[in-house]
Amino acid sequence: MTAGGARIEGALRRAIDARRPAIAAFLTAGYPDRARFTACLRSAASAADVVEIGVPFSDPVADGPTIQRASGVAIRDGMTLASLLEELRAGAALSAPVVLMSYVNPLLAYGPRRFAHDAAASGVHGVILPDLPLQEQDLLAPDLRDASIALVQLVAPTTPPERARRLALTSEGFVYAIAVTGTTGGAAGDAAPLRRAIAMLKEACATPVLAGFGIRDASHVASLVPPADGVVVGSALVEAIDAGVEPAAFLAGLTR
Amino acid sequence: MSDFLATMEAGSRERVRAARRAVSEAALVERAGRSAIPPPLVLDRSGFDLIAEIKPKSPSLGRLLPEACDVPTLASGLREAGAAALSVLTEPEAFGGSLDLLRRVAQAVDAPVLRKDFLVDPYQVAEARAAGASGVLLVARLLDDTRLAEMLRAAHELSLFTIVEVFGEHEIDRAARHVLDAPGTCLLGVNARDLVSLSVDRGRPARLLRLVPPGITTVAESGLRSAEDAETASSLGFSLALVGEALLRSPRPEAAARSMVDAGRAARGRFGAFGGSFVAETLVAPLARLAREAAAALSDPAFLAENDAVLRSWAGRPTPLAEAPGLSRALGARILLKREDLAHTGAHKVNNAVGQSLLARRLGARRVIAETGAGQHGVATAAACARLGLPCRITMGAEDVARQAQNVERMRRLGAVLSVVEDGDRTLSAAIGEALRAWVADPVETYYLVGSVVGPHPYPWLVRKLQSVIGREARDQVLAQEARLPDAIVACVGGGSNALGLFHAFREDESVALLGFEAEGAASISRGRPGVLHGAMSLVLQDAAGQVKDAHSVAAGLDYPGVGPEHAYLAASGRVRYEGVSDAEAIEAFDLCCRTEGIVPALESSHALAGARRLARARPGITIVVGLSGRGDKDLG
Repeated sequence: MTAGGARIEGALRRAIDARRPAIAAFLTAGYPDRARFTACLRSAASAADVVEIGVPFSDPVADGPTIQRASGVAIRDGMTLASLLEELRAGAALSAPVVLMSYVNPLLAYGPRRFAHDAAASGVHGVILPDLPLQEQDLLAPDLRDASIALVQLVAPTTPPERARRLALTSEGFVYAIAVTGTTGGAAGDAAPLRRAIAMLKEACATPVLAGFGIRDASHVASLVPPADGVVVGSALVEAIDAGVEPAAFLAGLTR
Repeated sequence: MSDFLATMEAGSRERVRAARRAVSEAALVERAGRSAIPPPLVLDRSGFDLIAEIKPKSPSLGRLLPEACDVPTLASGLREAGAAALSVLTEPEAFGGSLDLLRRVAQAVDAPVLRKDFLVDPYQVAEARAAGASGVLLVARLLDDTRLAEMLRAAHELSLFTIVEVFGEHEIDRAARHVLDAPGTCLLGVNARDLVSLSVDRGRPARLLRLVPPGITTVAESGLRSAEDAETASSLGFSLALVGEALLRSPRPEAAARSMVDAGRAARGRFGAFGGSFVAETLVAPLARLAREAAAALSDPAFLAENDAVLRSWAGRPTPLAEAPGLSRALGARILLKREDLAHTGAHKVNNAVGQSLLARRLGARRVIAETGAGQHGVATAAACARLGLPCRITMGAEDVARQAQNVERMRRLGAVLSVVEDGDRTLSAAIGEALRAWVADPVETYYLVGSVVGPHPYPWLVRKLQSVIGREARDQVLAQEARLPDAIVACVGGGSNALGLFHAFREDESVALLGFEAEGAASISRGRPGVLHGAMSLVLQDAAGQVKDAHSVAAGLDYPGVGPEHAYLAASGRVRYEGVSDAEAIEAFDLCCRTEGIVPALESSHALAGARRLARARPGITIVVGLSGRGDKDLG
């Protein structure tokens, strides 16, 4: 396992061992603006087990309205992958491990090798690449491995069981179980098949399993953990920030 | 002599006996083991490879290699053209081969070489290795279980890969068992030729493939005559094709090999470094199913017959190819127009909409979603869905809705529901993004009917296959009318479906120049960089940070910051030349066509006319086929 993967998994294990749902908090880089993003990130890191930072992209086809809007705002404000990495490198270390979530094109434009090197130097422990499925990962995986950065695999409700097991065994840090057939922030469907799918992933691997996409509140979290070890919260957190709620306060409310 | 295989077997046994008398098996194995380890078989990540076969003659075709042929040079050329391995026939009587021929090829190329023969004895496996081969082919029918296992073991001990070949349905189980049990690299070859009667059944490989258990790498053998055959074999799931006669009889074997490699990989969604399937995990399984079903449909005679019948009776095909006297006079060249504007709904888009709507029905889809820019694909899809009674929703950017009002009205009349996209660039790119999101929310019951050669695999390949009818017709028409090929073919390129559809049939006609014209403000090929947009690696207009730039064109159908991945490859390979055309040049060409020909072309197609004008200035008097992709009524509002 990569050092980054071990660090992420270690942070999640502390929550699992304490018998509480592990929380990964997602924020769009540079949203609502550069200064407030930095404050939100620190607040989220103080309350979450892992922080996930979304790199804004012009064509976010896997994202629902909330993250689309946040990405658009951040791009117009001049946020780029380079400035995010610079900010992470210059700032004080965060209390939670950092995972970047990015569409693949900004990473390709930056250069895969250079990205892996600079991300590691900026304290990034893992990446989630929503438009780089397993069969295309040769493009980045070797460079990420060399830089000890974990590559988190996503498993969807449409993923056939055999492939799901393979993804679970390949994933580092945690396994990202997509909770809805749709884009980020989408409305939750029937919980029963999702719980069964998560239980299958838990059986397939020893890596923690987090459910994400459309996770909104404490009762939603409780309906999925267990079998999941925790959740990723994105759109709901961004909406809370829009409503003026402190990220740490919102995140604390998820496990009450 | 009715049983060819029995004759070959008898000869093979006789040769082993003779060889053993000259060199003992122990001495041979010792010598083979001492020779340098031959290069291993390395397969391309696209999932498709070619093994090019060299044989001096064949029982069905007689002499294939001229006496004076420089075999090592031929072999190097085929390797250079992309063959993963070379196969050398070593059987002397019917095929004129020898171990010496294999030795010369193995010495000349830095590629794995397969010994193809009618091998009956492990002694011959050692002979292969001693001559420099990397692999051996074993005909299952010649070997009982014990012997076959023994031969496979001998090959593995000498670091040779193996192909176990079958040609009968009842042989599959037994051969598959051996392939799965064999140590090392072992593939299953499916021969379209019956080695007893020598007859070829071109449907056999597809039938047999269905019986092969998962986890086995398969090789299609015999009966592959063209790049299209390689494409079909690959699309059905063959990982390799072993081709000899089609290459050796070609006037340019290297070009023929390259075409087969390209075609086989295109069927896997790989166009050189471009293409692929860069999508959310949610779409991976639905796209894999679509690719499987599309490949099955496109090699199903009943599906193709229905598609063809609908194109004729409902869409008005074939469309005319006719000389344009007014434009010819004005431009100083012989201009032939391929009149896709006369196809039903007014553009080439209907070719794709018909095929994919039939595919949607075959897949049991409950509804169809499609994006549109100029509205032509939206209208074609709405019409095709109305015909089949499939509910249909069209996503369209708000800016395009405003500038293509007539097509918006037509879509509504045809029963489509319109989703107006206010986000992003408010044109085609935003409409594609929104259609992808709608599809990801219901990938099983919704069929996404992509309108161009863009998006994740299988769309670029599928749409090109369905649009290739344009070029097939045009090639037949031009040969019938002019008794020669044109000097050049020009088409406009947005996503690029009409251009690929027209170019494809001419890709191997080296004398025909192929030119694509992009809108200058949306020139992804001339001004883009490699990147991933909407599911494929292609050329993309983007800034230094990898954010996709807004495109700008007076023609809504060209107003897209990306381009189909096959175009990116054709640009890189140099087969097609791409240039930009300004809005002003396009409008000038539009006016000229209206006045001199009495034809109102689409603004998109006017880019092709402007390109023809530029080309005619540079090369006066030449014959140019122009893809008149659509009519321009929509642009007059």
